[in-house]
Amino acid sequence: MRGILLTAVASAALTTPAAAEDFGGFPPGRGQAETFATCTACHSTAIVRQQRQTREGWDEIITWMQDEKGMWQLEPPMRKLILNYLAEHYNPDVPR
Amino acid sequence: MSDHKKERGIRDLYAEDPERADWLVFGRVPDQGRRGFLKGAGLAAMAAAVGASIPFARHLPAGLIPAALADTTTDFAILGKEGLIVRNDRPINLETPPTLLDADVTPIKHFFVRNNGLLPEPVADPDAWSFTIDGEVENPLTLSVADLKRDFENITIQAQLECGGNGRAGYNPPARGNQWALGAVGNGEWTGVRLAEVLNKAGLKPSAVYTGHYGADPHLSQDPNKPSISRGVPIAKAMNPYTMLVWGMNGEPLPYLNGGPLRVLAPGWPGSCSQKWLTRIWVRDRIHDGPGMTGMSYRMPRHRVAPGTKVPTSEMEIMQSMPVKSVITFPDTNVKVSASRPLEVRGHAWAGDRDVKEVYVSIDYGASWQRANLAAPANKYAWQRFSAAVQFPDSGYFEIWARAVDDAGISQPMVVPGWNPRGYLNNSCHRIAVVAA
Ligand code: HEC
Repeated sequence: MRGILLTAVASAALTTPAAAEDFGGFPPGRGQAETFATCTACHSTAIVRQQRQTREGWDEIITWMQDEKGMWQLEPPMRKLILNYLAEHYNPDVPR
Repeated sequence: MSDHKKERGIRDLYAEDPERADWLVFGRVPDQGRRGFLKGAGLAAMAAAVGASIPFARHLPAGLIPAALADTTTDFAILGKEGLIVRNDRPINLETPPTLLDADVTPIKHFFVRNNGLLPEPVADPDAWSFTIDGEVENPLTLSVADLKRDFENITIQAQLECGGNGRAGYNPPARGNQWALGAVGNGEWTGVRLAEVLNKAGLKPSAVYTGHYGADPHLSQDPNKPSISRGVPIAKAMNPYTMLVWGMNGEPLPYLNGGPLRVLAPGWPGSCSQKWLTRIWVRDRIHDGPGMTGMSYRMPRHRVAPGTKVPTSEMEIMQSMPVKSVITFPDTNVKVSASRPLEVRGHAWAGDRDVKEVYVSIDYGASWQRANLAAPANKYAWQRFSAAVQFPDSGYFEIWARAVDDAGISQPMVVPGWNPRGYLNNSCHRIAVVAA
């Protein structure tokens, strides 16, 4: 089910310009669709977009979600893609 | 603060997910053809918002923003709330801008919302709502709201309620979580019964140490075995005469978004101790260890740490009373005023389990302070009104700062206090900008 959702979102991203509005306000970039599909299973993007964290901070947040909040394990390439996306767009140097 | 950027209007919500916006804003559930309103859910709210009944409602497509509201960016209602900053829409987390905190009793429509999970199913009959007390008690009980109303003394008190993370946005390096600025606080008038009386009826065993609270709000993952949050308080706090089970707020039934039909109220402590949609109080023989009690959540480092320090869990301790704090509710920041006559400044101050003894205001960045008038609280745990008339010596840009001091002589810090890993307890002075001409 989640796999299907992910593929659908990802292929939509290939055919249309990846405007932020289509991804809950996540800005365009490598990993946009995957991060959107993974991180909106339980909550909206708003709790993500509010944060400014280092890559390490984001890594801890994902681990916390997996240890305590029922998030599934991610394949290493997927985890890396999502972490890169979050660390690039939501790091402490990005203005709020 | 850049609050206004984050304020999201009805159009943004509809742009993100139209059907969810329908539900969030109006409580609307469409019927099977994605039109109309399933069993009328949300129709009354939408009619109230557009200011008229909606004759062809059964044809109105789901997720279509009513044209009458399409240009509204502020002041729309999310399930009875107005004018609030939307920090998050799933789960719903809403913050009150300081000027909407001006009333002595914060109106329901402006009272902040901090949710960890999804909203529970609304119920038709609030009096039939029931919860259990079990664990370290002689007689486990199941009581309905009607039982509480009938069998225990009904009391009404004012009390301020503040999220432990209020002010988190001020910390650097940034702390994760909802980026509350100032307004995850409000002062309600609560009606209910003393928790102590209910615990006495159940009969606490000598082994009782702590309460563990559970609510009906489903976990975000929708896993039925996971509580969204389950915190509690030491027995002494549970037995405090101001700790209550609450079904009424500001003379109305406790609103759904603020935990109705029934919630705990543990005033002066982080809001998370005041479980919403209460289903169970598990009296524990040890410190409660539900989600939100352990690890780094609602905990502070035992010893002061430098910003950004990695603190081991063993060095963290559970937060109890909230610290002394104040907010300027009038005037709004960035006002233009006349330099030729005094300006009335006012707001509220509170101090967790303590009272506020003094409030000071400054117009020169804290170089000198003027004592404000300070009212006594309506009762223990209510916030206290302060007011002062300030006179600007000249025209130009000024800041007004407010600083409260509690009855133990502890003052609000002028800058952000001790950094901590999850960004709790920021009680730095509130400052507003004023241009005098
Ligand atoms: C299985 C469900 C689930 C998924 C999937 C999930 N989260 Fe979460 N997340 C949660 C829960 C539950 C919370 C706690 C909400 C609360 O208490 O307010 C949370 C909170 C957060 C927070 C706030 C942190 C804090 O300390 O309060 C951030 C940031 C966050 N999530 C980011 C993400 C990101 C990024 C992803 C995708 C990689 C993601 N989440 C995917 C369940 C999930």
